[in-house]
Amino acid sequence: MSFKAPDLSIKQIYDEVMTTVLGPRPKMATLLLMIILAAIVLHGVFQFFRQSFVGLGVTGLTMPVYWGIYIATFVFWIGVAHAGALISAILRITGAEWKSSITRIAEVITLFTLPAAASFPFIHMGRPGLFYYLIPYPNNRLIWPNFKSPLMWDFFAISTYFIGSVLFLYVTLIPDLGTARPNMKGWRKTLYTILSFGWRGTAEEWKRVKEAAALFSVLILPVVISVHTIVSWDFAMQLVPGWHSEVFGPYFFVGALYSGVAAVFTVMTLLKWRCGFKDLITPIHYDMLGRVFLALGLAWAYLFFNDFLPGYYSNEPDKMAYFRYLAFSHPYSVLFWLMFLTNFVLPIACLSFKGFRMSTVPMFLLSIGVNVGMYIERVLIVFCGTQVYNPLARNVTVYVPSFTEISIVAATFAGVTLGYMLFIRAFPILPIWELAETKIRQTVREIAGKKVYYFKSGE
Amino acid sequence: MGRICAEFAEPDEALAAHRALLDEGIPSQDIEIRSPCPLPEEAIPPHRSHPMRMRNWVRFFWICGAIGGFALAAGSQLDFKIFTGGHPLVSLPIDVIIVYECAMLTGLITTLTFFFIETRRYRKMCPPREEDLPVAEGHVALVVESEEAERAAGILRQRGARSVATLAFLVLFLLAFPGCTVRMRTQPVIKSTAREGVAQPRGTVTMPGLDERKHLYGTVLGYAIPEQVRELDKKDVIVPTAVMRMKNPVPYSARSVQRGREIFGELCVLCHGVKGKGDGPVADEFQPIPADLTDPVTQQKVDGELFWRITIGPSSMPSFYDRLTAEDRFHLVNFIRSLTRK
Ligand code: HEC
Repeated sequence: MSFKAPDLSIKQIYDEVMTTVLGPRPKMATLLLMIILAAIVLHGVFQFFRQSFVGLGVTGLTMPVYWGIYIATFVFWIGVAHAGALISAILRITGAEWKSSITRIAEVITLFTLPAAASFPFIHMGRPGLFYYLIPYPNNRLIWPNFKSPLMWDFFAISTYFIGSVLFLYVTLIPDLGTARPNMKGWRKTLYTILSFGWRGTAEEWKRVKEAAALFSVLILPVVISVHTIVSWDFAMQLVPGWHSEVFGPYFFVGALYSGVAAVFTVMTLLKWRCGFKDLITPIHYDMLGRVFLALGLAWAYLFFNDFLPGYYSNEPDKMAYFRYLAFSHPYSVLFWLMFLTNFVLPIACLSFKGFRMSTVPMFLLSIGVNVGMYIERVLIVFCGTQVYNPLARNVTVYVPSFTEISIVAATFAGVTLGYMLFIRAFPILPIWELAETKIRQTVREIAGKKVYYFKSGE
Repeated sequence: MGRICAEFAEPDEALAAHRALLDEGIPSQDIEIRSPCPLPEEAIPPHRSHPMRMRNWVRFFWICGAIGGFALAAGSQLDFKIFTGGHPLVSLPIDVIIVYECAMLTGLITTLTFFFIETRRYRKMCPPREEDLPVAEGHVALVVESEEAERAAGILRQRGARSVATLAFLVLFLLAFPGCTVRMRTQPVIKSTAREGVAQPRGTVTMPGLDERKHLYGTVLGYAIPEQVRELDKKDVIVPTAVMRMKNPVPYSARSVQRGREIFGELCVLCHGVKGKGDGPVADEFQPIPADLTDPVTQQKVDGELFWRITIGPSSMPSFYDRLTAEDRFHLVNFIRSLTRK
């Protein structure tokens, strides 16, 4: 099915996108929500400092489970952060025209979830102040980081990805900032002037911004693949039976894309409802992205089963013990089958229907369901791997996250939401220039005997 | 040189006017189109077209980044050796991961850098207010900067430009990046894995612990006399008879005294004072206080005994058994002699 750009002139696109920035002051309810979110964030920060002073004893971590909800949430956020790269890079490279409405929504998700993810290794550390030991620089201690540790690779991959995705977001934001600058007032004017770096919108500049965006897409895609593969090696490189799995690399990566796309659906729907992008986010976008969603769901399911299959056929005792623990033991079996439902049964069943893909509310609910499922998946992998495998004393402590841990995790969720809300208020959340360009590209006209893609507004 | 800006509601009209300007003989490099979104390149004749080299630079720096990443990973593994029981010191699969990430990171940063470098030619850092073109309204602007700006303005008005305005010029320059130096490589450090002994920093005095000293007493001068070791912990030091009979192999001479003075000034003055009077700056800290070396009690002692005492270090004095060669210790004996000899 070919994609038809919305029937709007550049001016109309601009006005519609800029309503979030230039629109009326936010309502009381919104402000209240923001205050509550900020309070949750501050409480999390407080709990973090308390944990730093008192020690990791305030968490529920004891033998045998030494990686708890912190690490699970870390993996989850990294996964959601894959949204940005997938949507922007893959769709840009393949030249999918319907991408324009979605790219920046996805990139901004990365912008906020990646720091949320990256904060967890620090939070998890006994002495967070010493995190700089990870950074390779000629130091006083003359000690280099141990490059043989997957945690070190993590540090490299995540920082590369973060820098890359921020730059990517920024470069594609520059033209819109430059375009919108003259109409801005107050602090936004200053901000836009500084950030737009004197953008003027000449043909030469357009050529280069497109080139840069293409280069970024090509460069960031492999990085994304490496990021979650390396995160999976944190587990797979260890000799814990539930973790020591060859398929973890692709399994984690596909899972990450799956939850990333789900997150894009969630945010997209919220934006559509709250900010009224009626013409710019249409059922066609849902349909198109829904197909990607379905494909990823199937791939995830395949790899999910693949993780257990070799263990099942060889009847490997440790792996089967792990599986039985997941599937049939209290309390995890409830979570396991819930994940099975929301991540596998429901998406595969529903997404194959076009009618379902094009309807907003069901897709919204499904996307939240998938992310709940993905969170459970991470929790199960992180907790149960060590919970089951307990070769030393029969240590039967079942790990339960403490209040401190839950409040810090909640703080990152609140922080990401708050960050997103503030971003929407400050910057255009849809790429105006890409929307306009799609519109122009679809109008072919003839000028001076040459066939050119050409634009006439109102067409 | 005039500079004007004309504004068009429709990209259609703007491009037609652009064409008209070219037909009237205004060179294409003097005209600049500004739009809120990329217009199809086929429709615009090039404006001061510079070749776009971003892609090649990214390729180049990508390779540089890969080399840098390899140097970082492999170099650090060679510099800070973690012995891995038979496995190679530089582990290639791991280096590949670091090389990969470093190459990508450099590629990404290079893209942004060259995006800025390549577009800077056509823009000023912070344009003044007059440069604010209403492209946000969906308008397309034509900026003409030429001798014939007035004539161009006429053509543009005819062509249905909404407004034609004169623009001011202002160029701002970028800031230079300040450099910084790192001195950490050059300063002395102690590596935990270093094999060689640690050099005694100049001007400091080390006090060995009790265990260490017992060990020294046991082996000093090749004598291992358990009773004496036990005795040494008591206040009255029993000196082995062999030591008493030892001859000073270094003859007393000005050179020897000079050498002794050098060492004394470095290691002993803190306690014994410059003149050996036992009144150094930290002397009061000790009980018993450092001996007055000019005292007849000391001077009456034979060379062998002084040598022995410097070697083992009586009570709170440190032992110089492993910090000074035997020869140097005898130079010190000669120096102590010189304190009273006129
Ligand atoms: C930490 C301070 C300290 C330093 C440094 C030190 N001494 Fe002493 N030295 C003492 C003290 C205290 C005594 C007295 C011990 C006692 O009476 O039991 C002493 C005693 C001596 C004696 C024995 C005097 C006697 O009559 O028995 C000699 C010889 C001597 N020191 C030489 C040296 C020389 C040579 C150096 C430098 C290589 C040196 N000392 C460095 C504290 C020090």
